[in-house]
Amino acid sequence: MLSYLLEMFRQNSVGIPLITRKVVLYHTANKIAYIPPLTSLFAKIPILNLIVALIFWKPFFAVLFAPGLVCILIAILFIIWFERKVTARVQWRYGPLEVSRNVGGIIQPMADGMRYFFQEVIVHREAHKPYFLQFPLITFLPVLLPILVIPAGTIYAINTPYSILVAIALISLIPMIIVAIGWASNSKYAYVGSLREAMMYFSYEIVLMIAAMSMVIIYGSANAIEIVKEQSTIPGILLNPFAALAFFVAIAMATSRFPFEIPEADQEVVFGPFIEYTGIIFGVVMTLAYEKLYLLCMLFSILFLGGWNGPFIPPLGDLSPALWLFLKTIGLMMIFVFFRTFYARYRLDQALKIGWSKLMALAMVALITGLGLGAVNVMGWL
Amino acid sequence: MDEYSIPVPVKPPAEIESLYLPVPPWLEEKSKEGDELVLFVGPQHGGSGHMRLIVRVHGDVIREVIPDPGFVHRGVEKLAENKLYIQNIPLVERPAIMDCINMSLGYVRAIEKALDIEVPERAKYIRTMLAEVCRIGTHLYDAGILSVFLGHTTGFMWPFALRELTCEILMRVSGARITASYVVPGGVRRDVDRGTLNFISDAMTYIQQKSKDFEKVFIRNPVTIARMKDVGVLSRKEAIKYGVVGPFLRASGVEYDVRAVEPYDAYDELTWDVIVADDGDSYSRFLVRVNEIQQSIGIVRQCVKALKDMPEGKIAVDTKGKMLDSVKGTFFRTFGRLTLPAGEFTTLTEASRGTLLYTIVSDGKSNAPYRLRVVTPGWYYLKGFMESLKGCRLADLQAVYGSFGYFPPEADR
Amino acid sequence: MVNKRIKRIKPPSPDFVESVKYHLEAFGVALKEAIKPSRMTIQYPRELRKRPKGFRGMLVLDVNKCISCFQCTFVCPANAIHMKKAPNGKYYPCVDYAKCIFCHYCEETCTKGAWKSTNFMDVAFSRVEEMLLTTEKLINGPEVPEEEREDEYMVEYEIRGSKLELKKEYSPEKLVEVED
Ligand code: SF4
Ligand code: SF4
Repeated sequence: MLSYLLEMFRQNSVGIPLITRKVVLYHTANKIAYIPPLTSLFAKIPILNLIVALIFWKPFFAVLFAPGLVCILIAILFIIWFERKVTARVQWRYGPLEVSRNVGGIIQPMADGMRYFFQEVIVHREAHKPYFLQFPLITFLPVLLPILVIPAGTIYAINTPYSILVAIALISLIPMIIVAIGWASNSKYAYVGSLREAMMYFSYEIVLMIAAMSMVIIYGSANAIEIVKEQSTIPGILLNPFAALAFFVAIAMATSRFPFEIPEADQEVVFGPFIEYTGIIFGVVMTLAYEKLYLLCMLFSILFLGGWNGPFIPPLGDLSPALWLFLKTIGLMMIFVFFRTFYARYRLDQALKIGWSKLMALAMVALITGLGLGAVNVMGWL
Repeated sequence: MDEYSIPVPVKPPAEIESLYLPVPPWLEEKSKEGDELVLFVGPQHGGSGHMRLIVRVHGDVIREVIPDPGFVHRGVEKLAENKLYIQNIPLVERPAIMDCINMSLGYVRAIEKALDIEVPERAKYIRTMLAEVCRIGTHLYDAGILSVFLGHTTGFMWPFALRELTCEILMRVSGARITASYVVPGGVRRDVDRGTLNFISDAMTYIQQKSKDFEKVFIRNPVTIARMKDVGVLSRKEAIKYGVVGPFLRASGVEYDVRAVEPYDAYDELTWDVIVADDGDSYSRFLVRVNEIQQSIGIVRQCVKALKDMPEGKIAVDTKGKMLDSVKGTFFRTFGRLTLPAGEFTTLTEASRGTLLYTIVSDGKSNAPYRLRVVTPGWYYLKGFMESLKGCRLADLQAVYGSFGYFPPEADR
Repeated sequence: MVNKRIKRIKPPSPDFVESVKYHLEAFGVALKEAIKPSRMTIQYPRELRKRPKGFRGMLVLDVNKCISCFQCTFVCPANAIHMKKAPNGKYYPCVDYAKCIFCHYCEETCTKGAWKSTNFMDVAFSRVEEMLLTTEKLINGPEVPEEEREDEYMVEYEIRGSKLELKKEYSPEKLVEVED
């Protein structure tokens, strides 16, 4: 039984030459000295070898490491630091610095996380207690599930022809949970905030889907791997810039980046749905928007920026495409957080109006372009 | 979970329930009938300042806002009654410390009016210059608050950083960064030297130049325009009816500026424009003040030039008409025992946020005012502010608040 | 309205092209600052602002000059000055820094010039009672023990043309300087 499992894991494991191959130290006439591969250290030990094999099993690796949980954490820690730092720079300040002066305060988000851990978690009297405490943890579900279908090069959990569609559908669950959080908080500001979240959801969701759809039509497939393969010469952003723009703005709306930071507007509704949270739960719900940003940026780079296409780095093996995808995603996230430095926020009704007029028109243009290019593609002229 | 109760030996006064604190009981019922949500914005809210706004919202549209000011009431008027006239100067600038020169200027002019003192020319120019520096500082402060209310954090940091220069000017001239207590009856406390004057004109150049960047990043930002245009409109008629003052009155198209109508100090010797806009919305209220910063910079420049041409010294005059080069060592002898003739003395001043009224009632015998009446601009335009909110969206509350630059400590006094 | 000109301003109402331009301008300014920021923040405990001459800081008393005339007590708007009887039978002022508002009326009042200002105003005490500085403490003026000093630089704003420069100097030997 165990050996069968082991075999299954090993068949489909992530190949990273850096740690699975022997590293030759020197090579003289009759002597070869090498460091034994890291993985073979555990190959003989009964339970450990199973665990190691499990970790390197592709589906598991995808969800837990790249592009999954670990990458999300790294991205969040980096992007929060970057956001504060770049805003501070533009605003003639220094930003986080004091925690680790010689590396520009890069561990500040971690220090903040620690602080959240030791803060008291207050559950106010009016809250629907079980839901109030549950929902922030449930948010990890719609965040991690899309990872199952979003591949990073050869690392993927499920290879399905509907991957883009499933991913978008799963990401769309996040607003539901935010609205539920607002309901469970049972407070006036949380109520206003979750209403705003719901309204924003109306304004961007359809545009997001149409924009993604027009790209799917162009490539003739909703499978991320196919889509990236199609983009090996021309990235999607050049094929259909309208769709890229619509998708871009829709991401800003979806993840409440400026200028659409409306549901959480701290001067207006004081973090809206999350107003009653304290301590580590607040930390968890505050990272929600960043997690969503990570996922949507990953989708953007797959749809428009050629996903994991990039020069292959031999020692990294399977990790090389994952790295390219990660870098593109982080780059996009950096652009999104930069908006904080020079935008105020729109009003709710203005955001709705933008969503349903200008953005919708743009999405329609994108769809028509997509249809045209798709037809061209079917004919095989592309 | 256990609930902790803290044994407090006092009971809240019965009026809290029987009267209307914090909201009248009928308000909840009425709002339920009208399908409304009653939101308490403040006093511990990121976008309220030290006051409570009781907002009745229908859907997303504000039906009515009931202000609940007084959280930072410090009883300036009462405190002033048992202090020497001269000791009240630091007191009257406390309501709006970023506007300290203007605040104390009004009070000091009331004393000068009572004693019939003619201020030396140099002191006049110094006062005018610093009043305008304070005006720049206050307008920058309000612009910063407005930006952060709209979520624009860069627009918050830049004006505050530029305001640092106005603080620096005050520090070099008077010795203190914000609470200058610099104006005294008959003049000012210290002279300004040439180096400081040079710094002032340099700082003006810097502010002017950096405000161009600020204009690009915030003032002309399409998001800002969208947020503030046609929001919280007060027509000319309404603005007059509700007694709005200062730049907010001018933004509604009324050409009234105390500095131009009843010029005091050196204002009638300088050239500057009264800025007027016609729309009366949040954006023009903001723009009027942005343009006033430019005018103030011009005034400061002229003052610096005039001061450089003048001989130094002679910055104050005592009650007997003797010119003083410095008040050092004679401060108490000169000003400590001021006694005003019996009567009522009122002055109007154009403080940064609008008309500022001081009335000193003196009984003619004592060396402290019998009564000091202070009406700050914030208190004047509170009604107009509340009226302009009607029919706005909930998110506009902060846009209108910021455009008025309402400053609760100033209004509450 | 006497002789003042009225200037009517027109708020901009950008059309599509203009608003795209404004968006880009805002972005451009932010990007410019991100690449080359014109910082004016001072890292407080390490860098201190240089105080100008005539700064109104914490007070130092020269007892030899004081003639116990009580004028500074009378004029103090915050009632921060108390007069205490000294062993020699004369009364000398004490300052309660819990009340003092740094108006320096006392300094300008003293006919004998007994009060002196320092360039230091970081009023930090560990207990409220310590905030009442007795005459003995006022004579020595505020002191910062050498081992508690964190400052490395003194910073002064200097405007050259269109640039604001932070002029840094190494901190002086003695942090607290009495003005003359
Ligand atoms: S500085 Fe002002 S408040 Fe402080 S002791 Fe002197 S007179 Fe009193
Ligand atoms: S005013 Fe000067 S001389 Fe008089 S008591 Fe005060 S310190 Fe002493």
